[in-house]
Amino acid sequence: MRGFAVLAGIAAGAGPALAAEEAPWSYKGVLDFKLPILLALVVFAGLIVFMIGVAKRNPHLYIRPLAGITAIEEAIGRATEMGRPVIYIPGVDDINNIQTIYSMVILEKVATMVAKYGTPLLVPTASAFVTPVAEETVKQGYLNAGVPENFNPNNIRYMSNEQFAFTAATNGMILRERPAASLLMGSFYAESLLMAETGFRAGAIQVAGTANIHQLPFFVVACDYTLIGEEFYVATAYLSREPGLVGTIKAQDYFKLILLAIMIAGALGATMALNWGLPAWLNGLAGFLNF
Amino acid sequence: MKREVPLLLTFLFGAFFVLSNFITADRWKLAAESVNNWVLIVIAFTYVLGVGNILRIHGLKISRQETGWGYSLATILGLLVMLLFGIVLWFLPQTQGSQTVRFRVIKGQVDLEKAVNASSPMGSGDLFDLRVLTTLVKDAANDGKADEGDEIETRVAYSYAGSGAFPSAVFPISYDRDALMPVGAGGEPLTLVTAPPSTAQAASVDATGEPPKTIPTGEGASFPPGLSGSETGLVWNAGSVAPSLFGTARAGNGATSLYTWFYDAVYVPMQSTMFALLAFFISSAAFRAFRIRSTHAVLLGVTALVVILGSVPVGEALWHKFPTLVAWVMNCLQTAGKRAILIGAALGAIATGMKMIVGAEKGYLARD
Repeated sequence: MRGFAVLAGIAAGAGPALAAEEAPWSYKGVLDFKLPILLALVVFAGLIVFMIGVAKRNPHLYIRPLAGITAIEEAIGRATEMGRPVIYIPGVDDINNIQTIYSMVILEKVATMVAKYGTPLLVPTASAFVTPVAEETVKQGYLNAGVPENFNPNNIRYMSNEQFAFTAATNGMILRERPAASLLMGSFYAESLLMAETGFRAGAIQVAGTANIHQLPFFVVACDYTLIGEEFYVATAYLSREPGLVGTIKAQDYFKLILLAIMIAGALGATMALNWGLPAWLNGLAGFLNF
Repeated sequence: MKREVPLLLTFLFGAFFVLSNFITADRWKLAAESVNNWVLIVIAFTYVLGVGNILRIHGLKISRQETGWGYSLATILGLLVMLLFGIVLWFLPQTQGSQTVRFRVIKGQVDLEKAVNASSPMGSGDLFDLRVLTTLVKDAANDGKADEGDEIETRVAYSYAGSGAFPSAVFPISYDRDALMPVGAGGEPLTLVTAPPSTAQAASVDATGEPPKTIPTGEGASFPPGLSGSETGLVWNAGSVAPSLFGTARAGNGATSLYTWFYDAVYVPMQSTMFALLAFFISSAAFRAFRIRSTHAVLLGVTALVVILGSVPVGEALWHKFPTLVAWVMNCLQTAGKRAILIGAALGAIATGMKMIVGAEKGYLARD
C-alpha cells in the first residue's frame, strides 16, 4: 500500500509529497484506511473502555459540576411549586440526528423527575417520527417513577415539520400554557431565539442545550442556563452518575488533552518550518498527518 | 429478547456505517445508499402517525369545546385542505394520452432504457407527467437484447394536471438516429425528412431481402396520426389537451395547482413574518445581554460594540482601521473559540454514538 511507503519514507527521513487525488492509505480500491483518523478512533475507543473500567472501580470520580444540569431539577421543582407545566422541546431535526436521539435520552430522565413531582410535561415535536418515540420515552419515564396512570399522551403533540410553523405553534403553546420551566434540548436552527425569547416572556426558567454552535450565542443570551456542545452530550451522565457514562466523560477530556498537545506541537512545528525549516523526519511526520 | 434484538440491530447498523467511512468498494457504498433510502421510506410512513396525532389532539379539543377550540378547527381544516389537494385528488382520473412508436435496430445493440426519450411540451412546466416505456417486440436471436435487426416499441404516455386546456401539446421524441430507424406496424420504414429529388437514392433490396437502410424519398409507411419526423428525431403532436375534473380543481403539485397556491400565497408569507420577528427578538435579547454587570459582560459589550461599528461605514469613518480590527476579531478570536467548541461537540457526538452502538447508552429503548 502506498500509505506504508509513506511510513517507510518517514523512517528513512524523507517526506514524500502525496498526490492530492490519491488516497494514501488505500488498498486495491476497496479499503481506505485513512490511517490518522483510524488511529484517532482506535485511541479514543481504547480510552473510553479504559476509563469506564476506572469509573467502575472508583464510583466517585470527580467531574466538574455543570450549572445547567443542576438547574434542570431546580426548574422542575419551581414548576411544581408554581403549579405550572414544564415544556420540553427536543429540537427540530429528525430522529436520524444524534442530537435528537440524545434529546430523547434526556427526556426520559426529565419525564421521570416530573412524574415523581406530578407536574404536567408538554412535549411539542417537529417530526412525525420523533412523536411516537417521545411518547414511548415519556411513558417510560412515568413507568420508572411508578405512576404510569398519570401519563397523558395528549401532552406529546406533533406540530409541523415546517420550521416556522413548528415555531409558531410552539410559541402559541408557551404563551397559552405559561410553563414555569422550558427545556430546549436538541438540534435548533433559526427558530432558537424565537422560542427562547417567548419562553422568557412567559416567565419560564429556561435551560437550553445544543451542539449547533451557530445557535449557542442566542441561547446564551436568552436562556438562564446553556449546555454548550459537549456539555449537552454528557447530561445523562450527570443526571444518572452511571460509571459507564462518567468514564466516557473522562475519556473525552483526556482525548482532548492529547489533541491539544498535537495542536500545540503542530503550531510550533509550522512556525519552525516557516522560519528555520524542519528536520527530515519531522517533515515526513507532517506529511503523514497531512494526508 | 425485547432489548437484546434492538441492541444487536443498533450495533450491526452502527458498525456498518462506521466501516462505510473506511470501505470504498462499490457494493458496500450501494448497500449504504440502500439503507439510507430505507430510512427515508420509514420516515415517510411515520407521517401517518403524525397526522393521527394532530387529528386526535385537536379533534378532542373541538369535541369538548375547550378554550381555543377554534384554532384547533383551523388547524384541522388546513390539514384536510392540503391533504385533499396534495394527495387525495391525485387518485382521480386525469386527462391522459399515449402514442406508440416502433423502431428497428439498424446498428449495434441498444439499451432499452436509454434508447428513446421524450420531453414535455415547451412552456408546460410540470403540468405533464410523462412516462416512456420501451419494450423488445421482435427478438431474432431470442436473447432478450435489442441487437441489429430486432424491433423495439416505445410507448409515450402523459397525464395532464393543468387547470385549463393546453392548446397544442407537442412532445419531442429523441432517439439515436445512427442505431434506430422508425418503422410502421408492418416493419416498413417511416419517411423522416423529405429530401430533394436530386439526392434521391434508388431503392434496392440487398441479397438477404431486407429493406434498404437508406430511405428513398416518397417511399415507406405513412406516419401514424399526430406523429411526424423532424431533423432531430420525431415529434408527437397530441393537439389540444383538455383539463379533467381533477385538473379543473387545480390539484396536484403542478405550477397551477391549488396546493402550490396555498403554499406560496399562505404559508410562505406567514413563514416570512415569523422570520421577520427575529429582528425584534434579537434586539430585545441584545438589550438584556449587554448590561454591564461583570467583567465578562464588559468584554462582551466592548467586543460587540467594536464589531458593530466596524461592520458599518460609520465605523470606518471614525477610524480607518476598524474593518481590519473586526476582520481580526472574526477570523482569529471568534474562529478559534468556535472551533474549540466544535471539537468538543464533535468528540461528544462521537462518544455518544459509540456508547449507543455498543449498548452502553440504552436510554432510547423502552423498558418492560
